[in-house]
Amino acid sequence: MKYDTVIGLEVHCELKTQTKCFCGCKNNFGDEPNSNCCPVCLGFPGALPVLNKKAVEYAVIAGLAFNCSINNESVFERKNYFYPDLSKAYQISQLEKPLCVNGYVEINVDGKPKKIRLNRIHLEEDAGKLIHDGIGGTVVDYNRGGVPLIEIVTEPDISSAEEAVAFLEALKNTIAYTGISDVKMEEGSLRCDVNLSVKPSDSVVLGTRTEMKNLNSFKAVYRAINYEQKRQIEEIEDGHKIVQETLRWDDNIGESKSMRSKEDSQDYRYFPDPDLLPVYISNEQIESLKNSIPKLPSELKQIYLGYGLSDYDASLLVESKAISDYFNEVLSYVNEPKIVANFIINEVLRKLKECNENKMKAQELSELVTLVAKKEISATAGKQVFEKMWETGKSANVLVEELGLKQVNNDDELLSYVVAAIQNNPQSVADYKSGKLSAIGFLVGQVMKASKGKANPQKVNEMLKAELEK
Amino acid sequence: MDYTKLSILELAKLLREGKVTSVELTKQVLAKIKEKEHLHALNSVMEEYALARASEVDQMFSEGKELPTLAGIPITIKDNINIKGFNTTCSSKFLENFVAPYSATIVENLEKNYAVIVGKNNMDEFAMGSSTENSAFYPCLNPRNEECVPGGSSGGSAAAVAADLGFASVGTDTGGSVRQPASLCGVVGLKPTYGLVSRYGIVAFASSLDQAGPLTKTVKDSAVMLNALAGHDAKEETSANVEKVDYMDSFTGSVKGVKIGLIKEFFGEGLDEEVKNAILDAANFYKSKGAEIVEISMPFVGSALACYYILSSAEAASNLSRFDGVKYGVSVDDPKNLNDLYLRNRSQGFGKEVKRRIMLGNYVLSSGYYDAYYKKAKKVQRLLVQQFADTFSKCDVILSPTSPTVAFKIGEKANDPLAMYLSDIYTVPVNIAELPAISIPCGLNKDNLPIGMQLIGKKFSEKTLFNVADVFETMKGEN
Amino acid sequence: MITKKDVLHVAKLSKLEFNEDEIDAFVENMDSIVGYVNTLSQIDTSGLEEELTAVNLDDLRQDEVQPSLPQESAILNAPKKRNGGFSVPQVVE
Repeated sequence: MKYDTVIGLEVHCELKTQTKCFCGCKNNFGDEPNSNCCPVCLGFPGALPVLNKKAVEYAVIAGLAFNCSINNESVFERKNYFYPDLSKAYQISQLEKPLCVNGYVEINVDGKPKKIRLNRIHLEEDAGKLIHDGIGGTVVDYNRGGVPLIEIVTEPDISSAEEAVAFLEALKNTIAYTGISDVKMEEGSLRCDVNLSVKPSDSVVLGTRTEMKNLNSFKAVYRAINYEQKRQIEEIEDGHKIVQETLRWDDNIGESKSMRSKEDSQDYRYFPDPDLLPVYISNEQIESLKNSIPKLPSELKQIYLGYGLSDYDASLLVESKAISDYFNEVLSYVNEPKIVANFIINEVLRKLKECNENKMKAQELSELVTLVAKKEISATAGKQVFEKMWETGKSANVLVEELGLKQVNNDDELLSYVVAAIQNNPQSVADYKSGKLSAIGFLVGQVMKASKGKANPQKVNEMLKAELEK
Repeated sequence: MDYTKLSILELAKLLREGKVTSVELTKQVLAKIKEKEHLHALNSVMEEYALARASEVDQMFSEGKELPTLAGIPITIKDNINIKGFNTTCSSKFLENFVAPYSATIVENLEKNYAVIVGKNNMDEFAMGSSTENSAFYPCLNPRNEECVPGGSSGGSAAAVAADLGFASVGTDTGGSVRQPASLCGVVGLKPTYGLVSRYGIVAFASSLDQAGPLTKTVKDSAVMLNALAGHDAKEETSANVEKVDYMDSFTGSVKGVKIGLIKEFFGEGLDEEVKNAILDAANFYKSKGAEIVEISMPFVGSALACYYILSSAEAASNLSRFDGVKYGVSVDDPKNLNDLYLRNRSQGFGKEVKRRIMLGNYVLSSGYYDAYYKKAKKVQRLLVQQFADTFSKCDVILSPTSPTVAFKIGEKANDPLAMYLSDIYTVPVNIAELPAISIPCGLNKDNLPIGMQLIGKKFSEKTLFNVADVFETMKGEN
Repeated sequence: MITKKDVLHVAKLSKLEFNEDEIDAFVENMDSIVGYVNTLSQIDTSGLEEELTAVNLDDLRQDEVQPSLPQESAILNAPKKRNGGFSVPQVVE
């Protein structure tokens, strides 16, 4: 039998504010335990939360970037449960009136666009960190407790591991462009839970779903989905029922284990937090936040296509904000989009795979691009100069001089190469004359070789034609 | 001379005239506290701290510095208000050894006014109760009759002021916890408008209803205290951002033309006859001074109590969840696992009434009951707010009993929580509607126990309340 | 009607444990209190919208760092502490 997989994701993303969501403590990763804490985030008796404006703005920006409607009025609620990482034994979150509702993220599936709908994006506080020291105890560090998080909840529109990863990549990339988060999965600033069920393709009834937690990389998400859909199909085919439960993915052994079943599922007793007022955001405020968002990858791609770049090249350039920023910066010095794009895609991106640091300043690259654009050096020579610039840090102009790569445009000098090529290659000349016009390419190659790459190939082509037609 | 029976205003004058020093006052108060230790009005005394503060103030007075009215006046505060470096116990075993790592905003405000805090008052555990019998340490006695309760939950505060153990106290009022003990001990108790006095650093009972307020010997002293306590606090989102006023400007000495409302429903079943007559006497007094008495009906006002028990318990259940014994408080030595740690810490740390409220709160919030109880109560709250708005279109202040009875015997209601809850019937609607109200003594019953009357005003009408209350306090004797 | 089952469920949510006598007392106590608060259900509140006082985005706290507590103060009251943190029984995940 054929089965469909139905997947919904819940993505948690830490916001890069200076301070925590409800107190003025530093929002910073990697400090001494409990050193970025105050009575509020430690849940001391009598302490009260005060909402961070920036956190709300960032959550709204996320909503706008993913095409959500923003609620003018939204409410913070308490989600009550006991766990040592939760200092107040409740998490301040949003349930009935979140900041953002009804958005979507567009992904590519087999070359076709597909919209993954978002149910909501809400703002909440992160929990602290449990450190297991291996000597029979757990130590709680509340530095992360109270850090602002957005939770992005999709509709069950995802139907495979590939789509899930494409969704997460698009999500991560767009968030990175907005600047509201570091989106580092390895530091836990981006986390993801998977809700998954399977059903026979010809059935309209949804199957029982499970929830998988502890997915710490895109690869883990991919593997976990494939594992879980296979497991569920096997269970059904063996005549078993799927149990609604929460599973914990273990990436080391590539299996998921049950954490708790629905029977002992929590009753969170949500109710509006009486310490916090509902937040009102006017349409004007929403509009001004919208205007503050930098250009997002989808918009940038359209602009780049307008420059005459191919779809492939444009897509590559918007895969990272650092790269598209770099591209835009080089363009601000020299308006040659195609040449710049070629250098970035073929040279810079290749180099960045070897080392993470971009050693070439935009202005330096623009000088090289100018030389190529003005045909002072050939494209081949350009690549050579790029290599040397990356290695030595010297400027393009200096290197062109040092390496003697300046393109030969002198007619007398070029003519002597052309005449020599015609004399030395009678067969190609004969081919050309008999109508095989492509033979001229070989002759151009010979001239380039003789000139050590310095001849202007276009000019050589013209001169060869003129000589051969004589 | 014994200064401990004087008012703050009288002492302020003597201090400025150099006739007495703050250290002398503080020593007298400390001695009296020792003498009246058996009342259990205080959980802790901060002798060294108080004397040091007092001598600082004396130094400033001797240098001729102009200081706020409260400067050098020894006062006490309820033991659910944090002072950095001192214990905050909430009269609970759970927090018996808790040392506050920060001060409440109102403590900072009192310190800026150079008040001398000498100790912390006994209370019902976590402010839950109406008799101070729910203190985990010892019940507090009513100084007017030591066989009786002082009321609660700020029973220690009211008893301290009534027994001259400090010239004022700060209590907290979630459903009447300042006004009811003030009434039972024969002192003045103010519950300010919600948001007027900062809640930051006061251990929360029910966040949407809690409000700290002063207990004093006189109405004018209450105004002095409110001047120090009130003010917007950026550390609290629900803090009211209203302009600072001088409450000492409240007093005109006249109630001519003031419309005083009597709520029909407040004079029905359950109201003690002597209390009722005292309130009607007060109404007659006001009439004789030129006020207009209006009778008004508020058909739903009786539902405030049910509303209160739902909302306050729900919030309390959540607010008290943080007491798990991980960050502070009691903790068992040998927990089997995490769940065992939580269960045993909380079960051993909390008293009966606190557990009862937590249970009720979690019940009304739990899945399947939330709409029927919590949401319903929120709607009834709206209804009550509207009804108070209607009422205040017909009168300026409402006059009512503070408590249906005078102080009752210790143990009398201890085993009947519902009967105990009913003693808050007149005070609770005020919290539900976020209004200000003041309780002042209005006579004694045949057993010489004080009777209190309550004046309720519109939001932020504390000045009107002070004036109307002061006219009664200063002129009633003339009749 | 409050049942023993209700009391046990709520006790579990509350992280409180009781002996049999206490549970019986709770059933009785809570039944009378819940019966009392149930009187609200007779009040017609239809058409009443919850009126909320909201805070404008512009009036929220600015994102500026305030001093935190020193680590010693943060863990000062902790019944059990280790390595600058709050120590709890091993949490199995």
